[in-house]
Amino acid sequence: MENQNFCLGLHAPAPDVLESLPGLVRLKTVSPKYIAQAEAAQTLARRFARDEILPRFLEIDAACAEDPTHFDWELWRQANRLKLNIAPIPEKMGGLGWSALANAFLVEELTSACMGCASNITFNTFGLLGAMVECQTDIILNIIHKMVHAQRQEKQLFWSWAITEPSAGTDVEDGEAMAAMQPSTEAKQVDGGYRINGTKCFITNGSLADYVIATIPADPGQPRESMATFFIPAESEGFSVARVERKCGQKASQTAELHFKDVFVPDENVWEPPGRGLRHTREILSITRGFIGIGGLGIARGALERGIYFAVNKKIGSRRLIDEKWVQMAFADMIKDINSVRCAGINFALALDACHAWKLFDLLPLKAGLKVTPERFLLSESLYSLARSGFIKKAGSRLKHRLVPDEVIENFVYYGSMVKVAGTDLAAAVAGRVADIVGIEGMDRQYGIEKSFRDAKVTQIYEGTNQANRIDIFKHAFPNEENLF
Amino acid sequence: METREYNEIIAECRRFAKKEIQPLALDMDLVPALETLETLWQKSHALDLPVLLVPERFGGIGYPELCAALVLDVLASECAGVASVFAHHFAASVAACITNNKKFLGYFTGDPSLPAAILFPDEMGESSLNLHKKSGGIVISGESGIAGNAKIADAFFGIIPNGALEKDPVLVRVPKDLPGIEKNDPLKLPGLKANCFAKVRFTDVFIEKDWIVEGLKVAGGLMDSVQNAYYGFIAAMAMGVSRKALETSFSYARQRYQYGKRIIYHQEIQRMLGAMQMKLGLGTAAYMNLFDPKKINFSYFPADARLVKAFCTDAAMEVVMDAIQIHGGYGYMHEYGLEKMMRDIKILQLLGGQNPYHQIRVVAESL
Ligand SMILES: Cc1cc2nc3c(=O)[nH]c(=O)nc-3n(C[C@H](O)[C@H](O)[C@H](O)COP(=O)(O)OP(=O)(O)OC[C@H]3O[C@@H](n4cnc5c(N)ncnc54)[C@H](O)[C@@H]3O)c2cc1C
Repeated sequence: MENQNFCLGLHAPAPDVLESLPGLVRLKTVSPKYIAQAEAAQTLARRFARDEILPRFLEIDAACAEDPTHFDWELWRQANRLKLNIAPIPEKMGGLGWSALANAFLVEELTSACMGCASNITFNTFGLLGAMVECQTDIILNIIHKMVHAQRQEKQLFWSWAITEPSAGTDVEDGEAMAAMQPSTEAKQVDGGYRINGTKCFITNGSLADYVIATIPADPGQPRESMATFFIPAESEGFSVARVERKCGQKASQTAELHFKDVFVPDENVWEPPGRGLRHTREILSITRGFIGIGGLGIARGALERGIYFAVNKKIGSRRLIDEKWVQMAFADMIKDINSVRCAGINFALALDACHAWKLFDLLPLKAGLKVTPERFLLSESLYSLARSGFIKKAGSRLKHRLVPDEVIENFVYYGSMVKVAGTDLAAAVAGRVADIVGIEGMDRQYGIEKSFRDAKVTQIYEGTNQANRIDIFKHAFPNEENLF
Repeated sequence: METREYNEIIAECRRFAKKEIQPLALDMDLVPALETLETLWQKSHALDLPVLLVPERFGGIGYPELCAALVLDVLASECAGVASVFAHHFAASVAACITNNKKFLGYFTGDPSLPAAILFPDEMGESSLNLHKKSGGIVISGESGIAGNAKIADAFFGIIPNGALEKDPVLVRVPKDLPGIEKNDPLKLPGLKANCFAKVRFTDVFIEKDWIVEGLKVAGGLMDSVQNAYYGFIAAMAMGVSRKALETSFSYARQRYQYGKRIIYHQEIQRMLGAMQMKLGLGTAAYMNLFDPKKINFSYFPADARLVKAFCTDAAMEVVMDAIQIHGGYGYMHEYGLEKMMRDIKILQLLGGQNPYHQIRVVAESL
């Protein structure tokens, strides 16, 4: 895209955080550093998307179309060098210390270039999120340790979050549904741990994962009451990748079916005991759904930018496609929708910083502690052993529950679901509409618009179908539905 | 033709599509193969599809255009890409049949071993094809708009402005292998992959007088008839895809359990299936009415063919999107065939010009 006049989004000359959300100017006067970090994140993410993803995303898509197990390690390594895959980890511990707001901009920028590539980089925080749920200090430190260590060594490290089963997709995300589900997995309690059998499907990065975080019922007859969360190294005996799916879009990101045959999980790797697995799921969803909405926003923006580029360069007789008034009206409408969803997405990210997981990083004692503690010690074995002590573990967990109680989780499922539905419906609508403008020639793969169109649809399905998300929205808005009138 | 006859043809085509097209559809979507398509074409002779529209006295079976549309509906339910090969051939047949010219129709009565392609004077100004005199002969020059069947076609039927005779555009039939004909690289489209879309470039291609038909009131008459039929064919294919999407969704929703019951018992799934059924029923009625219009004295009726195409393809996109949604994650995977429908419909929406643009043109031209 060499066109001189083209200065939108990825091609904008300067960060436009404050232009797209002028209200943040007020916040900047109170927290200049907070906004500056978001602007820096946007700038870095934009540069990465423009310089590294854009020149290659079509080639990667084609290679994965040929072979769904193809993975572009070079791109991953470049992202790893910039620590984009461990961005939320505190700076002092080796990450970028990015707020949820900064991460929202990271996601929007990367997904606007390629949703599949963006997933490979940003979904890696599943491990961290999964671990933070109970805030057991040893688990968190262990995970952070692993992530930072791998980043430094340029070693591949992937986490998968496996809840979906062949027989249950919506059923594993909602209590009422889970009570009635027919599980395809089972965790049998044995001496010193559990033995796991069954199948998980559609697992992002499942084929690359070093560790799988899976929810599995201890009693398939009572799935909701017995759902537990397990931490399973992929090298465990009995674990295997059954297949990698051939998808319509987002091909750069692998989706796999996983088999468990008598996989032994020791007690220490039970992250949530039977009965608490659903809560674990809900807490992750309370964060991830909103980010998927922001990913949808990115796909929409990418489709729009590509559409505008095409329309500027496409001649119809002596005019350009963009000179047509119907085209201008349609683009204006899409810009309006994109901006509205961005406001919702940013508001969600601000709320995460203020009231959810990120608040933990921001805690004064923790902050002060990080400041005075030497970096060596932060990632050392001695801190890890300290964190394993029952007292510290309990204190961490208690603190977390005080700061982020269950009501907050359900509030964020509510907010996140709204952003998710809005953002992903936007992705599908905008990608389709841009195609309708650029016509058959604009759907030639070189313009990337057909890829945006293929990528968009699945966002309405994963992280809970948009129907499942709407069920959550209604239930939360009307908690006493039966007593409404 | 009697309703019974239509139903017989539909049944026969359905058997053909199930037996011959369905087993190949997903593979052709991954790796389009010209030979496979050629074989399918050969087999379609058993049903007389290549000469479906050609009058009996010219050796065809002379069925009405409505019949061709119904055939396309059925073929598209197994693979819209394959159906689109027949659609372009049918559009070329419509043009040839209007001429009532033996030489032209000779191509079809020779039991065409390969389909024909049609080159329209593109509405968005894409085509620069023109006819002019050179060294005592007549030549075609310029580039066509994006055309279906570009690779497989045996002959091109072009409606071309006539600079040589300074008159209305003419209909020209050009054998594919003449010197000066060059096919651009095919577009890499996400849908209708079994077909191959490309622009065709003509550099001073000398043509024989016999290949030109003029004086047919071509500008209004022929061109409109061919284009209208073409839009109707696109609409029919979109409905065929929707029909299959709806059937598949019904049967999936009947057996998939979530929330402790078959999902077909969830009201929201019922609403989606109902909406799909509504779009399919009305879209089908709309395209059938296009070919067999009831002459009722209502304003804005019957609908303009471009609007029928816009309506049916847009409705089909909503149908296939819902079909994927009902299938959850499975709907997004290649082997289920639903995501292919979404990609195919996207191209049907764009074929023959963008839908919003058609809406504008219908009004602008009436002023
Ligand atoms: C590319 C991709 C990546 C994925 N990554 C992951 C991952 O990393 N980890 C993971 O665990 N899972 C993952 N998934 C799975 C995804 O979350 C599920 O596909 C999704 O939750 C839907 O489940 P399902 O496919 O089983 O559909 P189902 O739950 O079977 O739903 C089928 C249809 O029924 C509808 N429905 C169900 N209940 C109701 C109701 N009460 N009312 C109205 N409608 C209803 C649904 O909305 C849907 O339309 C991924 C999926 C894809 C496609």
